[in-house]
Amino acid sequence: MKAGLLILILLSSSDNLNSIFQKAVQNYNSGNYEESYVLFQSLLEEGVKNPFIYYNLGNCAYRLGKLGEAIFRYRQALLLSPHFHDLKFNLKIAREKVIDRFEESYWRRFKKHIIKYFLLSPHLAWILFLSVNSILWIYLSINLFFKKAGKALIFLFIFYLYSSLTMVFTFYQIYFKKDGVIVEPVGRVYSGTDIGSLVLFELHEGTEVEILNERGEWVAIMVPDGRKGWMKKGSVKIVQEELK
Amino acid sequence: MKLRKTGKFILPFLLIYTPCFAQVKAWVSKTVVEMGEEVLLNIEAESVRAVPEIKEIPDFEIISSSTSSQVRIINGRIQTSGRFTYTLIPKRAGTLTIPSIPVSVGNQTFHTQPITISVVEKREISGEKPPVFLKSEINPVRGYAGQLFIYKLRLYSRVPLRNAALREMNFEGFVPDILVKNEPVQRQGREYINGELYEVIEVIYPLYPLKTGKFQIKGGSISVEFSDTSRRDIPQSPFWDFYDDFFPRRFQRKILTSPEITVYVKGLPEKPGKEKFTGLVGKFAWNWAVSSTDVKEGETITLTLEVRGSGNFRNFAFPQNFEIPGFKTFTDKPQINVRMGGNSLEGEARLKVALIPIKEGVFRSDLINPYLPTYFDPEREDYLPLRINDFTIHVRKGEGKREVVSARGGEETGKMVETLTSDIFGIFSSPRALKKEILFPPFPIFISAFLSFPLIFLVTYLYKFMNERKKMRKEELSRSKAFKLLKREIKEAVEPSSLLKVFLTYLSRKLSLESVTAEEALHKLENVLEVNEISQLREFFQELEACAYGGDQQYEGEKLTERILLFAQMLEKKIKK
Repeated sequence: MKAGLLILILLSSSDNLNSIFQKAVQNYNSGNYEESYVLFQSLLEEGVKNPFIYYNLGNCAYRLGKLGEAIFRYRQALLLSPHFHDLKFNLKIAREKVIDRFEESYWRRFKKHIIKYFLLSPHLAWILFLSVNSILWIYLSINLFFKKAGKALIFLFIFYLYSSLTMVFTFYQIYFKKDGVIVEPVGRVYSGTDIGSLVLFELHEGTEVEILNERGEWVAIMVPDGRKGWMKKGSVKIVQEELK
Repeated sequence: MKLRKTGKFILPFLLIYTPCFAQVKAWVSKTVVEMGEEVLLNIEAESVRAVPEIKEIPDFEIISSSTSSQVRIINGRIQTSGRFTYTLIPKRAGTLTIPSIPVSVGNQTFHTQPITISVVEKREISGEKPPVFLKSEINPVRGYAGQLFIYKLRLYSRVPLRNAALREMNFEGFVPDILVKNEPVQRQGREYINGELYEVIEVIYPLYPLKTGKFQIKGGSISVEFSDTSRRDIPQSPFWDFYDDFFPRRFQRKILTSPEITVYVKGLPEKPGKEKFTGLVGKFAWNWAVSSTDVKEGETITLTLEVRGSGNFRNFAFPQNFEIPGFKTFTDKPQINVRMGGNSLEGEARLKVALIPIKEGVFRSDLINPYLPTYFDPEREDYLPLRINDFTIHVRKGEGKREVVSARGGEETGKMVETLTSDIFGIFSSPRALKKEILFPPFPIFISAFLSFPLIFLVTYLYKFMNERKKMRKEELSRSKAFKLLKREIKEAVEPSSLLKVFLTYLSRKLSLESVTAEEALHKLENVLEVNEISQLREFFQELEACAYGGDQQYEGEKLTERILLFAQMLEKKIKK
């Protein structure tokens, strides 16, 4: 209520975004994490979407003891800035507190390890791709007249391939893949899409899952060890949903 | 005389009223019935359009009704009649009257005659049990507030039953457990009573008292249809259905009721231990498990606490805030599983607590026990503590990062950086955080930017291709016309110098060069002509140059022209090949 009133006052002023941000930072530094969270959230609603806001929201949630929400926000920030050091550190700390532990297959670990080298901030990914694309074609065009391709063309081509893969992987993570984070203390995984179905297993707050399918109020999930089942939408938040 | 006058006066009324009873009649299947026993009321009218106006009959419950019509031919006349049958069950014992019932036929209304029925209490001859009866019991009869009371309704039968329906129960002062909110727990069994085998259907309601005091729980009520034929008189399965088909049994409906039960609910006693009592009443035991007892700082241990037993699990709440020195704690949502046991609700409540040690040391389970509640055991009439057995957690130092520092004397030595605890980095407070990032540019812009450069390349390539093609065509043209031009130009040349010039011009055209010297031409033609041909051509060039610049007047212009044309013809042939 208090925070809501504050937002209303701040929004009515002229330099509102900066004021909200400063107020949110102040609140965080004074230990008023709940107010700070609400203020950062209002910035998101105002269209300020960048990894730093998601990161700050994650920190507020962590301080409030909402482990699931914290990991959810960190994961959103990570999609926008995969090489943000502080973020990666905080996510690691938060993940250590998650109760559920899974044995990932060698192939999944290998895939994750490889893909991380091809991830960039989305805006960097497309700027890099377009730049390399333009340089390559301009070079080829000039080369039509001077015929001095040599090693430079090989390097350019490799760089072009890398930037293309980077763009594909980065945008695949945001637009085509769906990851979820359990936000309830305990989330039940059912065999079907009704409460009467068998409870297969339970997941705890902060556990990260892959979303396979959505059907009404239910989502099909897969945990890192390959087990699958259905969960109520309220138990799990989809990381990519807010970013698109 | 007086009688005749009176008769004259009464006769019209008799004429009006007599048909009222004449056209409709009512009768019952029996006039003496037991409590709970059904009685059939039949109403017959001499018209199929007759409609009896029955909403309710005092002292009776209408269980069902049916209609049938009959067509009779008497002395050649066709008579139609409608019969209405009502199944009634008396609500009380005594002499009860079914009042006159109005029956409307078209615009007319007729009335049935009132019928008297004697309802007697159930007969139990010298302890002999009836073929079907209902019994109820509650356990305990005297209990405590918060305690679970189990109400059981038992339907005994030694004859085949059908269409048994439980009437709604009313437990004043009690609330049923959520387990039976929609449907009570049912069990089936067999029991011998006075040497007779009875099938028993048991309906169970777990109840919680809402307040203390004395309560009267009204008897249960079941409507059931049962056969007169004893179950023991008929063959057992698999020929049951076969037997039924050939010897159909007659079923009669009854409403069975069980007697009222008095229950006493006392308040919980004021005794030591009540201060930590959280509402658990019954018999319980406490289990625990810890995932590891030897950990490093920062590693997570899961402590699982479990309460098992029988009683009112619904009122149980786990403590939520464990403040254990040296540990960060995170409590999970408790899980409670309840099911109907033999004579009580049984189940278990489980809580998982994540413990993260933040400093080195040895910690005993005594730290947890103060948080655990007491429960009330109604048999012992005392509050008993829930305690977990002693266990010890050894917390070792976490592994720190090895930092290399320069020591005196230039030697390097290792130094451990101790990790006391781990915490997250602070928030991002730079105004950069207000930057609105373009996740992805508008698709048409992206596609245009992506395609524009390959397009530039394509245009450039096409330009170059066209240009080269044009040039080649020009050269080709020049080559093909070279011999014609030579023949034309050679006619105008008289001097050897002009003949040389014409021949070199021809060669430059043929070789697609701007201009060419004799030596350059010979060099270019090395690939086309044989060695002897080249030497012949060289000699001819020398001869021609000598004529042109050497002042040699001994030349024959026509011969030179002829030789030039011969060489040109040879070249034409060779270059074509």
